[in-house]
Amino acid sequence: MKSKDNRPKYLNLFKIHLPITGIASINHRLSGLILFLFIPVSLYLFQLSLSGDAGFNQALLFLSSPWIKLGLVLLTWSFIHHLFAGFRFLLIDQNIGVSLSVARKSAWFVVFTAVIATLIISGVWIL
Amino acid sequence: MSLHAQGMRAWLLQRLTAIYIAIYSLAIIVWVIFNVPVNYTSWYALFSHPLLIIATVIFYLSVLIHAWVGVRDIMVDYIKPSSVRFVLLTGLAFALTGIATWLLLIVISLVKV
Repeated sequence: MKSKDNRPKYLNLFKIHLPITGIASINHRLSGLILFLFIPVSLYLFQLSLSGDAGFNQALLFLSSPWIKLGLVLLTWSFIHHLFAGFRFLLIDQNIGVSLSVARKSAWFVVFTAVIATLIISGVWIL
Repeated sequence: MSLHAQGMRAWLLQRLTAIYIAIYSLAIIVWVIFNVPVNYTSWYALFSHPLLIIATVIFYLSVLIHAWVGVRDIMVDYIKPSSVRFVLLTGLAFALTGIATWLLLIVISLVKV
């Protein structure tokens, strides 16, 4: 037992090559965190929009400002990815799509559909 | 929720709240799509309806429970010093309780009219 163990541990996140299932999973966390941060904003807008005609228009005006729109794009992606990835996890809980090949395909589907749906929705309604 | 919302209970709560959050959110989105352009009158009529008030309260409570389990998972996984973790978990609990109180105030103003 003289030599030190020099094998790399690869806990450096930038050196780990995540498989697509891992990307779907970490994006699920990231999107969840973004949605969490949006809770107080949503409540503020909810309150403002129901406070009267002026408040409703103020809320709409708030949502149409350029920087907020960028936030809305991020929020749209977070919502769609979290919804799709969450649905995928619920299916996996039910033993549907557990095999590696299916799990990989569904992960690709979730990751890419979320991005493409976000681009379409952003292009049509937000920007 | 206790600070130890772990194991089976957290697992189950996360999934039950997830299903409710998904259904409520999609229902509101569908309503908006069918009612464009939404104005104050239609918006207020929707959210001041007693059934929607109840549904919205359940939605936000579900979101808060879901966020508690989810953010707690993230903190437990990535924050190693137990003192920092404890402070952040406590902060999270306070933040979520504060949001619940805020929601209560909004609901009171909606019911009162």
